Amino acid sequence: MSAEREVNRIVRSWLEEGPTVLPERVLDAVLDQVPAIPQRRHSWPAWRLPLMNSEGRIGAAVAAVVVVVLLVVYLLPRFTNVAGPPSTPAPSSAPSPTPTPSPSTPPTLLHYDPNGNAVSLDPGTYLGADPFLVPVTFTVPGGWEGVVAGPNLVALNEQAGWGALNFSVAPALFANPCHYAGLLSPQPGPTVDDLASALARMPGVTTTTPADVTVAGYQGKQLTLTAPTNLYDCKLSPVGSFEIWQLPSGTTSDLAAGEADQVWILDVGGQRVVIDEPESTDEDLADAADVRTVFSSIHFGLPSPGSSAAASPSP
Amino acid sequence: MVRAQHGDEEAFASLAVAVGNRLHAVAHRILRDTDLAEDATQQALLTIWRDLPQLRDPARFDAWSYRLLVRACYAEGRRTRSWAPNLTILPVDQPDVSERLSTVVDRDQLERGFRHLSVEHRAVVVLHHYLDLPLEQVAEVLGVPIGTVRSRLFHAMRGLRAALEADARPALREVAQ
Repeated sequence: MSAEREVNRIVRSWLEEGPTVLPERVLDAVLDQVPAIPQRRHSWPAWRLPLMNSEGRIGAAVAAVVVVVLLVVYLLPRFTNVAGPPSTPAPSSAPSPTPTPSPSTPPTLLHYDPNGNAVSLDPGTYLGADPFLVPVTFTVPGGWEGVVAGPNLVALNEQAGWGALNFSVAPALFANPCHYAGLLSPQPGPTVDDLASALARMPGVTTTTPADVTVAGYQGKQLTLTAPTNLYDCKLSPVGSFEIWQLPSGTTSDLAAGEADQVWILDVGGQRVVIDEPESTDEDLADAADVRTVFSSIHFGLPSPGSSAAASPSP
Repeated sequence: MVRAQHGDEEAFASLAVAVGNRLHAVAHRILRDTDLAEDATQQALLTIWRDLPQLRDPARFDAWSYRLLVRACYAEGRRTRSWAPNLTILPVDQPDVSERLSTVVDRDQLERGFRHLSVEHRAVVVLHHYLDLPLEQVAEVLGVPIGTVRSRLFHAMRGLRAALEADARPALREVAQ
């Protein structure tokens, strides 16, 4: 028997030693806490509309295509002329986003669901638009899902991994995630710097100094928000979350204990867009690579007139 | 599990009873500390409850729950930093010592060697050698490429082998350091 096999045998034997029963008090502690912890179906609260039948879904898909075509025809000049990125983009910081040329094939229209139910995405390029206020195109590898959850949120995440990217418009900051006191009042001013500075000063959160960045050709600020490693001493929100901001729809963004999120705040044609990404850790190398791939494909604005988006299938 | 996914707390209690022992056993073997293992298991179970509705395929529950547990172990490990992050690597071209290893098993040496591994390396060892998961499944649980799993396992086992040999082979230890 080789030394390697022998070491394996010894280690396996050694690992067999040790406790195999979870103490009852630990289980009791878990079950005591469960009623106070809401289940997370999405990272935003769901709100319900009457269920549509299949005809309704088809109609909605057709309507979505029509809306996108109208958007392309009527709004493209506004986004390309007014909101266009600077001709000489400033140097960018990690994760080295670069403006992505319009794809040769038309992007697929990302599914819109006001309930926020994400759908599985085939690998490819997608357009998150109507009713999202700032059309955004991106390319995903396999294993991702996403949804346009309203005018203020496009959410993407890996189905099995931890990678995620959220695009938010008009977030309102909470005053103190660790000592819940509702929304900050007054809210930060309208500029990218105003929001970045307010986030950097947010009590209870460890933050980095906002740094200048350029993402997809648009300038802005980047910083990292890190929650305390345990939240036992915090007075959390009524739903038990360490809440950072809230969108007009009621959607909230929160951090788990010890979680770090990278945040990019961009001025896209006068709209303040916030991209947030749960920061990957060492064990998530594959997820991190996928997120970087998606991030580097971000392109704001509608596709070129010759390539209107196709509707994605309903779930 | 489906009932628990839909918010049935009693169903989740049954699920927690069914998986709690296994998760705790894994956590203890990774963290080598009773309190930390209990905290990690508790955190993992609460995260399972919270995120269960997002599990699309119930057949993947085991891998998914191990992943949450390992993440909780990472968090506990980082919180305490009670291990040394660096491995003591044994040169691969040293003489075979299988004979000595087959007759002498020094638990203290193994324990010390294991504690010198990072939690990331320990997790690979435990998932593969305790749970008997194939490396492909370990990669899926940890969310890392299989090459990373192989590398971590290789270095971890070399570290453990070095620890087992350390006292008997002081010269080797000096060379390795």
